[in-house]
Amino acid sequence: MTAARGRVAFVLLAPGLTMLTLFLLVPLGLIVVISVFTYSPTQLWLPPVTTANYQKFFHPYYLGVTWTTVRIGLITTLVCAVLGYPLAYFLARLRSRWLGLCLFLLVTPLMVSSVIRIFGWLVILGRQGLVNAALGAAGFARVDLLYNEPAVVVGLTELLLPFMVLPLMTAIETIPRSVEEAARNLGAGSFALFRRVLLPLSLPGLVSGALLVYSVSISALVTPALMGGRKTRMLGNLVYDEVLTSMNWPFASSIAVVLLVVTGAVMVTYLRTMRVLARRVGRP
Amino acid sequence: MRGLEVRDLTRCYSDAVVVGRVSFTAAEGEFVSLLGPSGCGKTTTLRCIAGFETADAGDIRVDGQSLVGLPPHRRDVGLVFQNYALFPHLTVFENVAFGLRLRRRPAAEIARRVDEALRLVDLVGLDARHPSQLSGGQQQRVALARCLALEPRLLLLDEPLSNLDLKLRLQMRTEIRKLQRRLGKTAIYVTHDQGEALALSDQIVVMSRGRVEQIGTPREIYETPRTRFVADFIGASNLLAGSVASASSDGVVVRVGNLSLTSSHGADVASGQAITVLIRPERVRLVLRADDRPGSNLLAGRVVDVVYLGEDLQVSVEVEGRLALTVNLKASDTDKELAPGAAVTVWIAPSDVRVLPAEREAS
Amino acid sequence: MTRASLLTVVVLIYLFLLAPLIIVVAVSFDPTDAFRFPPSGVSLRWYAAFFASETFLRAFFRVSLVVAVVVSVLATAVGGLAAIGLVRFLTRGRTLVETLFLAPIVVPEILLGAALFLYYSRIKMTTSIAGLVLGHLLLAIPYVVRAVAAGLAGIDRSLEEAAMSLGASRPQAFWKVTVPMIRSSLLSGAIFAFIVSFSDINIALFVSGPDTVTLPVHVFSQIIWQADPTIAAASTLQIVLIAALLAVAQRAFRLRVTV
Repeated sequence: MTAARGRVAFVLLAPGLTMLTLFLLVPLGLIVVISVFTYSPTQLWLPPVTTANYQKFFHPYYLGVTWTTVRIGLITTLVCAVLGYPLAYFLARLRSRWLGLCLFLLVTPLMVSSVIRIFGWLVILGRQGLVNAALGAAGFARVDLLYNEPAVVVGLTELLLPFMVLPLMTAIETIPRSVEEAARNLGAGSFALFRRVLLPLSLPGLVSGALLVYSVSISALVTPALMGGRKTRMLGNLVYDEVLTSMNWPFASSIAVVLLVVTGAVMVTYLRTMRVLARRVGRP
Repeated sequence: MRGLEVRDLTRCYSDAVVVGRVSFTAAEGEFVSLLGPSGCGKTTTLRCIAGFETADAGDIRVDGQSLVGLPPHRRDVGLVFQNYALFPHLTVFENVAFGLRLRRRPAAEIARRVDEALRLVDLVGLDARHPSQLSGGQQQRVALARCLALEPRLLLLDEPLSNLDLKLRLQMRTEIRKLQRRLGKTAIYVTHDQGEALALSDQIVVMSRGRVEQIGTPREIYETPRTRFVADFIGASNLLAGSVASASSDGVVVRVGNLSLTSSHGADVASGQAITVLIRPERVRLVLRADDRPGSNLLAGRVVDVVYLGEDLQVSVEVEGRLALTVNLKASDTDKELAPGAAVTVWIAPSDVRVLPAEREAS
Repeated sequence: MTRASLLTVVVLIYLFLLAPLIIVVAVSFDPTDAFRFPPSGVSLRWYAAFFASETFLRAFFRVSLVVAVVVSVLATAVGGLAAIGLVRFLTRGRTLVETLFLAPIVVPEILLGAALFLYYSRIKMTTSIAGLVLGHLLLAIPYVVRAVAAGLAGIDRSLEEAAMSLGASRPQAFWKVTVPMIRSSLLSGAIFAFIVSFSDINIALFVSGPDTVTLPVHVFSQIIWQADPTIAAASTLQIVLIAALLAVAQRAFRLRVTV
């Protein structure tokens, strides 16, 4: 690399790199450091290094929250995969006139703040909400649809479905239509076609989508906070409470570090899978 | 009847008629080509037979059973795709075994039938390879074997050779024909290459703009084209516009400009009717002495251009000052040099003059 | 599965996907606060309430909108320059730098929020617009870098070479040929940066203070404390704003969102 090019590169990259270092790397480093400090109600944290915060994790309550988080993450991913596949297939095979509109309808909810979508669900599922109003009108008793785990799964699924559909759609597009037709010509009905041809060939997309959905759902905060009630608490809720309410920052940091490690590993795998996929499609 | 019967097949997209009342039959074991330029509806017709397009009207029967309404995976017709459409994630063996596995045949039977199919297409020993590791010609054979393993009643081939280079194309052409004959399978072959169609087929269905122009044996299509389109599409032609001077069952005399030409073929035309004369370039003779030939169809001409093609000489001749004729001669037949400007006499045997109904120009 | 049944399934899934948004919009026009669907009438009562509410207006216009615009401009500038440096000028250590710029995507948003909160308090930075802007920049810069890097990669080098053969110097060729061609990448990056900032809740929940309440945060607290359809009106306005921006981005730049 010539000196001149090196200089230009430096100038161009400096603002971004500085920004990221100061406001990404340092804060994250700080969290890792704090996670091994001791909690102090008066001074927030004190130097004596300890593993007490990580040990606190093994308390049944916190293990329970962790298990709830993992469970909700897995169920959400599964539901997203089941609902997302038909949608991804449909979009991948759609002629371009309608594709624009369909993609727009898929992406817009994604870009709107999650609180708004959750508010909508609260209206639909709430005690005084639409479903119950319909039930009441039909003569049935009102049902408690909110403030439980299924409600959180519903909220997260609706939130994260586009994350599953987009990579999956890209993967299915790489399967030539003629290969599908060949399978049909050889006698494959819809299920056989899916099992023997579509699924194996679209697996990278499915894996990408699953990784993405999983990693975002295990770090959810707003959805469980508004739809989960007291019974359904996830690690995200814990972090929020410990940071802003209990002010036990060392403990909050340890939870954060655990989440970071798990999510980080998942996301790195995701990015790698996406790169493999992109090479197949021929897009940068 | 055994074999394929297509009757009045029609398929429209919005206002355009892609396939318009197409009818033809293929007897059991016959090799029938659908031949025409791109957009003529031949591929759509094939896809209707395979079930990937739904006809708006008409019937398709295989061995007497109607296929209309049957989804593609229940039709028992084998389709060889233009781009082969091999399953990239499966080995050659698994590709060929695919249909058999779907039908839950026992493993021993599958192994035997796959082996047989690969032997038929001369592709033994590549079982464990993936499609990406094969050449184009090899992939094509796998696609063929994949269909043959299921012993379908009907074999459909959608321009299977168009992605291969010339030499391979000619080689595969012969092999496909040999294989088809050996197995006695009814085959429908879509192509835009007239050479291919002429070489391979028992019957050719010439199509243009969604309609059938003519059905016949290769010889019939070449020597007695019934429309201007067919004459033009198959082989090279001299096509001259003219009108009928007189017609009888023994022959037709036509006037082209102020020339008179005699055809020894009776044609269904009336005096005064506008017609097109077809003369194949290789049937035109250049004669040295005017009295070497009987009187009619002798024309005085002048050489305009000579193109040396190695085996052939393509000579453009201007006849009677106005008409342009292309004459194909074997280079070995003429020992004298034909130079532009040379005076020549052109003679065409009355049996080589064909009269076709004039067609309205395409709108 | 026939085409008809696939279509039915797809429509149902789309309805599921869009249901909350549709309901929110519908409720915002209902004259009553009974959260009924279909709405019993059409009324702009809640929109009037929105425009009469000091807190909502502040959150929407003086915090969220301002932050989003600033983030959009800064992210495009910083990200755009970084992308150019990354693709065209950096040869050694490229993967590392690339990873660094995409790193914020790997970190869960709530962790970014929590980390920034702790960091800000450590460096004794009080809650401010700047704090929000910096947090949102973390989310937005990867989008911009990816969009511009992809745009640059798709440009044929021979076009610059053609310009040089016609007499342009290398920087001139770059400025006159390449930069206009990545204009759409820059603009789409800018639009996404805006949207990402405006919609963010996870970082804002940690980093916003009493006078820097963003719209999503305000909606959040309103849902908890006092749910009335003014929330629906505010939400509908946000939906319309974002949908409009997305439509522009999609139409003008034929966008394909990659996640």
